[in-house]
Amino acid sequence: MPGSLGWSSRRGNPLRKKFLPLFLIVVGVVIAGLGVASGTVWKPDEVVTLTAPSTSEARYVMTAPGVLGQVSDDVTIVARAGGEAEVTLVVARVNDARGWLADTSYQEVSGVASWESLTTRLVEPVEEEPAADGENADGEAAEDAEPADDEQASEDSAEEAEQDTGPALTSSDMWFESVSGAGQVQVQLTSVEDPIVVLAGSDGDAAPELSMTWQREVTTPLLVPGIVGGGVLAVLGLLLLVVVSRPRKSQSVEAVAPSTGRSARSVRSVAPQGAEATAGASRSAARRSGRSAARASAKSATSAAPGQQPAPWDVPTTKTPTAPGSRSADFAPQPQAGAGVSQVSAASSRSMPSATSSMSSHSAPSVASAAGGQRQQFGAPSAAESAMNTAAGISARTGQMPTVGGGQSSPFPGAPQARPVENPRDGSNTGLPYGLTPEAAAMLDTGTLQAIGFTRKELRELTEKQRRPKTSGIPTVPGQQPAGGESWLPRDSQASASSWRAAWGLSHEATPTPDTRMRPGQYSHTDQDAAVVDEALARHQDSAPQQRPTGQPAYTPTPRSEGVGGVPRPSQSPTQAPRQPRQQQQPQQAPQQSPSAQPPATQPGAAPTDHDAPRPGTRRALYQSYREAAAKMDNDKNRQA
Amino acid sequence: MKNPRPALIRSTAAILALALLTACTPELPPLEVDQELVEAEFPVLTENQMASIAQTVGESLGAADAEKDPDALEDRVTGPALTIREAEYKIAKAQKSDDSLTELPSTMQSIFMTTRQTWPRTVFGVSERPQNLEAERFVIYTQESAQTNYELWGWFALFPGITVPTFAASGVGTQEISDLDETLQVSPEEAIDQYVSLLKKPAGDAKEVFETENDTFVDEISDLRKYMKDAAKQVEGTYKETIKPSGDWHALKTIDGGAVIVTSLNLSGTLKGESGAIVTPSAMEKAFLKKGTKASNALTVKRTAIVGIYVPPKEQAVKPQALGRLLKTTGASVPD
Repeated sequence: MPGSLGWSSRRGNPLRKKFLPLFLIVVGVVIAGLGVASGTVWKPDEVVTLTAPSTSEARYVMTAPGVLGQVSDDVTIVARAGGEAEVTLVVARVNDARGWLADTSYQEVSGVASWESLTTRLVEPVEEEPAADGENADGEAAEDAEPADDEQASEDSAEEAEQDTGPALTSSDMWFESVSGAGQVQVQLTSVEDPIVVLAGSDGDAAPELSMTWQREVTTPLLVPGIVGGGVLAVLGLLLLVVVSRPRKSQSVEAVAPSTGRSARSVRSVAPQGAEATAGASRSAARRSGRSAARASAKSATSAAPGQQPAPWDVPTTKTPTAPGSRSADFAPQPQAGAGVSQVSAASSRSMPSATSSMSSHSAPSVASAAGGQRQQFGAPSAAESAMNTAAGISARTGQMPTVGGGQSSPFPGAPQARPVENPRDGSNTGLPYGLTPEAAAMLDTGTLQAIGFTRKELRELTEKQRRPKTSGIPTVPGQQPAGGESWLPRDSQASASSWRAAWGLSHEATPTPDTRMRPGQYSHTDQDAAVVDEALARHQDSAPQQRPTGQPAYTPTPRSEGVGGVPRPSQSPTQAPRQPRQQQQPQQAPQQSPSAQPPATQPGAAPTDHDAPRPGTRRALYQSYREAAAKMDNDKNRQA
Repeated sequence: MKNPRPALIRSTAAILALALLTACTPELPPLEVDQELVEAEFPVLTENQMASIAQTVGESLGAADAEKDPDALEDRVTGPALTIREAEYKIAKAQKSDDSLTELPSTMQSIFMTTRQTWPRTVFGVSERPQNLEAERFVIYTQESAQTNYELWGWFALFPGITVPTFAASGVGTQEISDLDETLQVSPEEAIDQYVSLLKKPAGDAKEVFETENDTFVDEISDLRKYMKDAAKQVEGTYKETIKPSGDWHALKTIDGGAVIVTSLNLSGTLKGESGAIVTPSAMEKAFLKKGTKASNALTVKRTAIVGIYVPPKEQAVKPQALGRLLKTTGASVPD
């Protein structure tokens, strides 16, 4: 646009470049000011008074038809006579007034010549004698006086001397209004019509001065156009001035790093370039994250605390071209938003030298604050924070930091991994990756375990171990846990945090259950799978009886375990018969339990005599109870229907 | 082009100044006169003006009646009304009683306004019923010229059973009829002449011209004539009468196209007995005789009559008829 307006060639002189905008502003202001002045200080007076001067050529003065209403329908007439002479002002029809003046000369006000003067003329009496007989002669009476001359013909004649004895002006029945007084009289008329005139006379020899005052309509045609036009010009000039005054570097955006709100808008306007630059920065950041992850494996847990450096688990999310700055923090409740902020900040520290010193030093804290801010705003647990808490818990318990790779920490499927991980089972004495014990593995969430190499079977086993003491919908509280439960089942650090968040509404989950932390597809809800889990549990139970306090049952079917709130629905038909191997194992397993471990009599399905009845406390038993409850509900509905 | 900006600034300033000068001064409205409105024949007076005039005339009459001063009547009474009122004053003075004064209400119940823009102008009116319960007066006001005021020209009492023809409303006004008008069955002057003929010869040809059912004036004149002729027989003398129109008449057009014509008539009757006979004037007639006038065998009595005649338009089959009359003795003398 500047080039099209023709001052880009003189870009070197800023004064010249700003001439046209300044000129427009000045002209606009002047025009607006003149418009205002035309409607205020320069506005013509709404009251106009015109005067027909006194003349000695006639004794009377009369207005011509239409003069009274020439300016407006409302008029005030003032007749003045010299000294204290008696002056009379009458209002009458024009024919009556002319008839009354038929025998004498008078001055007629014939119109408004300008806004300063009136036009007058002298009307001489008709020489014709009135009808001699005067009886019943239609139209033969004295007619109106004809004007002798168009303009003030000063014909001095001896007849004027004979006008000393005229008819009394005040005594005619024809007048609508008659006012007499000494020196000056006044009459105010409203809505005058054309046949109405005024006639003034005095007892002197000269016609009185006749003044007419109108309330005229004064328009201000320049007021609004002046203000509008001037305002438009001034605004146009201001816009042009802003355009001209903008720095050139802001005109061409190549790799913009938003450091302020205005720069952020600039980046949004050039979104493709910004997104591309962000993507490029993401790739470089991913490379760095790999290195930092390798370093993190050798560092202590405190060194991996967030905020010290860009978190490695944020790296994969940087491929998403998120909007930078505070805007992304407003609408993105996902952890990627905070990661995007950190990444853009990092990119800005590289691409904008002017902001490097300030941004680079605050980039890491900005990540933490952004993540914290999201948590406060949306109440959603940050996955990054969850992973950090998990890592911190592990390090506190095991004294070593699990090698949680950057991209592998992402709980979302499809999240790219930064680099391949070495075989985690090398050198493991527990058979689990990295030598994790089941207790330690139970403290990690499923995503993390899957990421570090846990198989599905191992996950199911762990899940079953976690489920049993936590099938209640009540948030996990240490006091509510079975006093004699397995020591490896409770996970105080993780479960308490997630349960606390869920209990206080800080989680999307209404009630934290173990299954909600299992993503779909990690295990199936078939009876076959349940049997496998049961077998694994049985083996584990056989292999570790010493972990239970003596005299306490291994599995107590507490009412919490009977709840269906956290139990997944069986995907298979309930009529499907259980597998035979499981049936064979149950009788063998039952005698191993103490008599007190027998199910209560209120659970006939758990009777050991029933070969189809699942073993109490197993998933199959839960499924069986669920099926019965569902069938009962269906029967009730059918019965009601 | 050297440097267009100064020229641009100058031209802009000039345009602004011209625009301001042009816009700040309101345009002078032209003198526009609706000539048709100016020349339109409006009623010459408004009802308020006419009421004021009637009141003024009444006040003038009252003042003159109080003094029995005929000179006080000259400003507001004219024509036959002035003659009659002066005669009434003479009679009242002679009789030392105001019984001869005709009561004239100054409040009009109807006004029939002329639209004639020239002069003389005529206004008819019907007064309220007088306090003596006589019939309403049909009053005639005239303005002889623009320099004079409206005056009472005459009045007459309506015949019993007579309905005044309808006139246009006072706000509209009615046209004043001239003798040249040809829309009437008979012209005003011809109607007056024929009515005079009727008065002279009630059984003559004029009887077929007028509708005389309610016309009591013809009977009055006939009775007067018969009475005077009987008196002439007693003195073995003669009775001669003359009825002449005064030539002063006013006519306004009614709404049906006819006209009401008001005129005055001069009646004179001379009773002359044989030589040596004595015709004694009545008390009323004596008022007009000079003091010291001796009775003789002859007496001439002058009377003034005001008559209103309705003349229908040509297309109507109804006959003209008299609406009312006023007959007053206005003079008496002893012929030589």
